Amino acid sequence: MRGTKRIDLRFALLLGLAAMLLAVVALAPQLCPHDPNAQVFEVLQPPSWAHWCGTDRYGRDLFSRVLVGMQTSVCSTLALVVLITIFGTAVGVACGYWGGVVDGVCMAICDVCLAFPPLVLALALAALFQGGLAQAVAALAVVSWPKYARLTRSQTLAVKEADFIQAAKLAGNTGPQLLVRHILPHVLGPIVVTATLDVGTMMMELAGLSFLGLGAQPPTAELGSMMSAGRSMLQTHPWVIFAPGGAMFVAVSIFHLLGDGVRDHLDPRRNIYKR
Amino acid sequence: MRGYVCGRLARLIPILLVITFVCFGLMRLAGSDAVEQRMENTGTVLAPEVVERAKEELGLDKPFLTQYGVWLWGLLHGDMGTSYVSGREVLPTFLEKLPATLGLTAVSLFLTVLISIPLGVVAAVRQNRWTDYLLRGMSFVGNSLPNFLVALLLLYFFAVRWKVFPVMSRDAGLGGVVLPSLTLAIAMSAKYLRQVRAAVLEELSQDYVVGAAARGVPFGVTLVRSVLRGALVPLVTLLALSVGSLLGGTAIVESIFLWDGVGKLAVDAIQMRDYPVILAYVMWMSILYVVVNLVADLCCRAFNPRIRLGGERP
Amino acid sequence: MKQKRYSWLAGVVLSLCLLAGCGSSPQATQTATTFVLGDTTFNAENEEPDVNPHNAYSGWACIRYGIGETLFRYTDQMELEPWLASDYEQVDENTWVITLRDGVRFSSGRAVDGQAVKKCLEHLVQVHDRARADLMVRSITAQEQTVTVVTQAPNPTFLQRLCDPYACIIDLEAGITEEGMVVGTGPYVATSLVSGEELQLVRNESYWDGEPGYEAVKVVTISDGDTLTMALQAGDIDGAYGLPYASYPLFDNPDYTRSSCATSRVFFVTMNFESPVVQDPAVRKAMAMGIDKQRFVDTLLDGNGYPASGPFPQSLSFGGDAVKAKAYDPQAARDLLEQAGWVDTDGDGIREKDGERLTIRWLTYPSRQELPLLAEAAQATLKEIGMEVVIQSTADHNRIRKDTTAWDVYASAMVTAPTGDGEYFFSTHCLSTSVANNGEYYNETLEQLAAQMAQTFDPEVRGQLAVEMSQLLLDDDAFIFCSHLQMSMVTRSDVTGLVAHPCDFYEITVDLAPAQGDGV
Repeated sequence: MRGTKRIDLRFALLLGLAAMLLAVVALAPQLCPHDPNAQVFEVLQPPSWAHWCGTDRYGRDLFSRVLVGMQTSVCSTLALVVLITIFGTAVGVACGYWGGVVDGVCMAICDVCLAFPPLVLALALAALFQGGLAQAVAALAVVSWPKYARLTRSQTLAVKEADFIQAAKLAGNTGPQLLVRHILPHVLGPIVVTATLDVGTMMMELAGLSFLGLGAQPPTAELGSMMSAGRSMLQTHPWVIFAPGGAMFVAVSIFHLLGDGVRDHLDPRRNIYKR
Repeated sequence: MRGYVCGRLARLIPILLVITFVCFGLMRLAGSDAVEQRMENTGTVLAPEVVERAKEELGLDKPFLTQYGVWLWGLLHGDMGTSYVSGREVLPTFLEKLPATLGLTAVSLFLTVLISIPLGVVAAVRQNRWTDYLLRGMSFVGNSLPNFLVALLLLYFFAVRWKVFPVMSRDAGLGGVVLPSLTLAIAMSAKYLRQVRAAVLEELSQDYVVGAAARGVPFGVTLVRSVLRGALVPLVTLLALSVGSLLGGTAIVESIFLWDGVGKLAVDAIQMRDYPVILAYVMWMSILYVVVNLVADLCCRAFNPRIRLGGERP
Repeated sequence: MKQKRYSWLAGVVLSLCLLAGCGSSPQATQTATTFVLGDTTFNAENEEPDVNPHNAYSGWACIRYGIGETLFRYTDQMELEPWLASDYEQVDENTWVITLRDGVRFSSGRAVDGQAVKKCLEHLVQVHDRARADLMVRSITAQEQTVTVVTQAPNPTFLQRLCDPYACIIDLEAGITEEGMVVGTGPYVATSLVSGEELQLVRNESYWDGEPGYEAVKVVTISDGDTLTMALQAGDIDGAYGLPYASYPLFDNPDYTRSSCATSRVFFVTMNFESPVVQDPAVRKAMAMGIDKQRFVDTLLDGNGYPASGPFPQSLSFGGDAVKAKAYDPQAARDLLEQAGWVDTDGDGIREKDGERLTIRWLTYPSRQELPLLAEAAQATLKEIGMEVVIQSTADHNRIRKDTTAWDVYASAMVTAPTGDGEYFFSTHCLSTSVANNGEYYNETLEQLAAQMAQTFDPEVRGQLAVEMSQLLLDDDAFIFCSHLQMSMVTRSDVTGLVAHPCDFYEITVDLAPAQGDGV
């Protein structure tokens, strides 16, 4: 039992870290030492006490931009993940539970979405609705939700025939009630784990779109576009690229660790060989 | 079995139809076209008659449905059209560049397996110890570095600083494939390592492991004989998924390392609104997706005969 | 057991090392007499799929890589001089007699005579839309060493058009290969070509104007700027065209030589005269005074360019400071807006008038790396004068710019004087009949001057007209010309003779050679 406690402690620690990250993200504008968009400093200064991360080629304070950029990246990523989780889960549970034509059609749509090269879709969508962060989020949502639908569907299928569901049915529970009260709680675990793990990945994907000029529009700071803007300065002014890169690393790591933690927490079976 | 495979492949046809149609429509709605895009790149202005004529030649002046119809009709005759930009036939160009991408992917996949399976197993066995944290930390680094940055860093150190490999992979033979495939493998391994770790952990928590331990079977034996075998099914499935994203995600790496494959072809085509090439790429990706998933399912069944394939009855 | 676990690790490390070992050492050291050039734009995306001048913009590749030469060429001062021609005479408004240089041979061995030039030009105007429209050829007749061209209408820039790379004289009897290779008169001869990848050339042993310095030349297409940088650093290539600005400091040392020249490509802002806010002259003028061109050039272009006044660069007699643009003066801009009734009433730093915020929608595109930089720089300085700029940088700008309700200003990059003459820019961008008059600009006087220019042959007078017309654009604040692009080529210091030229046509010439006392 001592082991479980240690896990809880570690998990609490992770939650604390994540909370801190979110706090930084929420308070980013207040924490900035300088106006992130003011082009008032000497350009391309290396990191110093005055500018912790140096300045960029426009003469803006990079530390402030990294803070605000983190806010943009994390918020849009969370929005994206929440969106696809809710939509994907809803579709998946419905398909798994009712099956039939609905299932067939939904899974066919899933197939199409999954088989569509994300780049082509994202580019076309972004061009359609004009470039912008919301559009990039929408484009990624379209290509990512089927994964969740698939996952929930298979979970639902597995649970559907279980004894306790049959019992609940016999007890007079109707369709929607059954879904929400009994099936959903059972499939939610793996979904939450996947979603937490996906935050980091999605953050990178969003950054990838920004790299193509489809994400945030200037002067909005966003970690991905900041990194790609500094691309050709890797040798001459490396801090321009490593400052947002470092922030990205911290954010991605925290979300990944949290994902692992959530899984460990939800799945209490332990490896007995672990000493 | 054969019926099942055929059924899965037959599902390709409607998928392809829908995808190419949607793709055609989206690109069309997205505005601009190959003629305008070329004008922009050269920074000059052409007379309207010249632009009109160029569009007419490419059939861009026709209604959308007609364009799609013409393309589909050609496809049925094994003709994927000619590129709006280079003026060359799409199919031969595509097939000519495919081996490069396939080769790159194969080597990357090999490297990925080579790196991530052993490390993932180590991380799982040493769960929550410093080795585990170190390996996971490394995977976070791999996960948070964009592809282009990894590529540039590798190029800088291996080609410029130490001069071990050439910058231009194209004519460098065997040595040329190392850096591009390593770039892909690093990102891939970072993701896959975590999945290997998770799958092995899952397997380690099974009752039979407890049983084996109780019977005094050495841990190493259990690990190799049972745990790895048990973890194989989810791993192959996940690996199959990564093949898809590997093959689709080679574009940036291809253009940085001058590796002439279909990824670079596709990105250029998207930028130039070169519809026939884009459609060829989209088709290729869809076929790939379906086939890779099918192969993965078949592999899983081969490893674990208890798994039933969709079409079969118990 | 522990040992066993680490053996996994050891195995991985070992296999990685093995793989690394497979890599052959790079072929960095080419033989001293092969020159390798890395170029970013030699591909179909930039309309240079091959080296056939009669195809799209491939003439640029033909002339740049030393395969073809034109009848006339530009000096460093952008003045005309005979090249394959030795002299010309204008008989009347429509008739030009061009005398060819004696003793010039194609690399196929055939002599360049009137007949060969006639065949080449006839084929050109037959297959090349742009050339047909530019040259307006009615008929061509050939005598021994002279060619007589009759145009359909007076064509004051006829000789300049003959300098355009599409007018490279090629041997049509030798033909055009399937890959798009041609036989020209230049210092190097194309031997193999893979479109968008590489072009191999060998020395033209019978070149008419001296001995080319290298036995062979290889041109490699490297569209990624960072790869190009590292290829030059690693020694995979000997020279590079199109390096990213940020890379230049890496080559500011004795190991490399850099040759730079301002081109006629200009980054400029077009005002949309259909937009209510831009219709206010005070707003346009304030913008013209509120963009810090010098800072843009110094910090964002790393000094690779110079602030523009009008549309044309310094290298042209009617360009550079021949016209007067408004200087950067934020205080004057503020006063001007204030007087015009644009006042910041709610204290948010942005001015309003009649309840409307002073917001400018700035349309631009990312494929030219400088344009998003310009947008962000302008956004910051215009905010200082109380103007809010909303940037839309999208690859989809070609569609959006046609909808004049969707944007207020449009920033783009254009080659304003591809032939060293001013008429092109006005006729394409500023007149009511212009194809690219995106902002629906109209000025009666300008239209009249343009009509006058179309009938004027005297270069002196044409230059004066161009100055007068450019000044009109600036007085109306119809455009803001921000900066001229400076083009640079970097070579290793053991190479001489790769020199940037203001018209960007000439790269590999007979002068390109290994540096004396080096290599060999």
